[in-house]
Amino acid sequence: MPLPSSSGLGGVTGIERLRAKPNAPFFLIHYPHEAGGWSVVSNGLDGPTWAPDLRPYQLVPGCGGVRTLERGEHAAAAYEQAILNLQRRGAVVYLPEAPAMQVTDAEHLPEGVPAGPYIRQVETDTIPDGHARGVPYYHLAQEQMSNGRTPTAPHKRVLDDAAWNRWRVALVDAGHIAAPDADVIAERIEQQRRKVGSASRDTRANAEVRAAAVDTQSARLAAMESARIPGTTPAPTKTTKRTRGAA
Amino acid sequence: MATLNAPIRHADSESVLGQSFDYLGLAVLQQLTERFDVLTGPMATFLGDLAGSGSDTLRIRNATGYGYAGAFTAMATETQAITASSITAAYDSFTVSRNGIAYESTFQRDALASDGITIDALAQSIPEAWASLLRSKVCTVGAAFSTNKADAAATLDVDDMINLRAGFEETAGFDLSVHGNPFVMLHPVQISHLRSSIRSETALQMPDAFDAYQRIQSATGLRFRFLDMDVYGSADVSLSGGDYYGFASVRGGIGFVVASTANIAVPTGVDAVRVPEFGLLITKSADGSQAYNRVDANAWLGVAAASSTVAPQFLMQSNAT
Repeated sequence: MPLPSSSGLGGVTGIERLRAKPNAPFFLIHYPHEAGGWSVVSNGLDGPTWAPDLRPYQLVPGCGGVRTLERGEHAAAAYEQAILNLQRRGAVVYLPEAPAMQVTDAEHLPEGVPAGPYIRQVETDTIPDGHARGVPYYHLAQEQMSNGRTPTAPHKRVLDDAAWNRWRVALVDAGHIAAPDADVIAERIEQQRRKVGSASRDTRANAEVRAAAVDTQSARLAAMESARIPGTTPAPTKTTKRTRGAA
Repeated sequence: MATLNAPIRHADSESVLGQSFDYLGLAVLQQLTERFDVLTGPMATFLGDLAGSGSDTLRIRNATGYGYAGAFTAMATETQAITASSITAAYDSFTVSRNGIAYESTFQRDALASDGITIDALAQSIPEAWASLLRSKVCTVGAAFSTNKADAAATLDVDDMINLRAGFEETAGFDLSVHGNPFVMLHPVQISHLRSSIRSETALQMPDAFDAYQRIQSATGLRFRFLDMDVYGSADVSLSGGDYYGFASVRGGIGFVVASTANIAVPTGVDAVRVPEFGLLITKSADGSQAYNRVDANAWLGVAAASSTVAPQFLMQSNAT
């Protein structure tokens, strides 16, 4: 499946070939008006912040309107119908070649990964089920790929959560992604409030277990209620880059 | 030449007269692989055949505003004119693509091999590969459902499943007697997260918790019922950006179309096997000059989601860690 732009995708993993099944390229989509399109994240940020749940839409021919190219057609013809289908459902499609979607800030990338598009690729090695060698495996710029410790161990795909969060929030702060509607945020908070309610309601439960569940859900609710809404409240002047995995 | 001194010992004779290992005749164990066929469940509904249509896209129409959705208006007077109602119509597009798989084996291997992995045996295994292809495409399509009923920032829990069940029930027009039990397709790790959540779920203490806990298995394809939703697991459920993209719908929410291969002409002498209902054509050929056999399989298959106005659809996007 040809990509909208296939330049500058390689050489970011530090491994020659990945022992994994090849996968399909993707573009990122977002459902901005769905409550599930936003979540509160804090890793890598100065505090709880609403971030858009950008998700990959895999360009697999025969799936959701992506089709096999006919002779002479340009690459984008393969997924034009898919884009229309997604837009009809309320999704916003972000193509990797869009200037605004380039990941250029070092804070938005894992260490050592060069600036470029949000989609990256590494060539695959032959694996036991016999897939061809050298076929691309696509992943996010913020994901780092590595082989398992033994030839049969599964490959590893580790997301630099902090960099991924910072990039998504920065896209909203910069106006490339519209800030969330107030009622969308309100719906998400209401969902969480129901979780607190269900955790605290059952009197049959062991008191300690109930208290722990209420604490967890309440902490999430508090984070949501206090979270910064990017694009509407100013971004802190400087974010602190934390170690991956930090809370 | 080896001299075998008396008494003739196995250790001395093995290298010249024996062999250092023996294979169990013709038995080749298949290595671990997911064998879940989504056609056994409600997550892939056959919608049609494009053969002979002249198109690679099948459109399924839907409409509303009549029948049970028709609304009478209370008239204000004896003579007030009735305004004719509109109906709303739409369609979903299902596009087939060509998918291929092939194997080759030299004449020399066929002559010498004793393992039974012949070109014919590989050809017979191709419908199973088709089942994997369909499963993979169904998971790709499900990952694009718009409304998330889980929480992308947290691992899957009981509340998400309750939220999902409520999502179905609160969708106007959802009717168990029409749609049947909803299905939920989760990654096995999401199922593990759900099991962990049950352990500390305040509303499910012993013995309810133990009962629920016991029924939840994370094997691929294995179904269990939770809140009257049929839950399946597959490692094909997408993982990206640190999240799993499980999904849920009802029968008819995801459909597939094929192009029947019954009408494809292959030259005389080419050994062809057709599975028209899968859009599958398997051809076998040989190259005498380079001394190998080859089997090629082409499958014309397309998977897409029906409109969520026809079948309720929900995403179960939850955090992977």
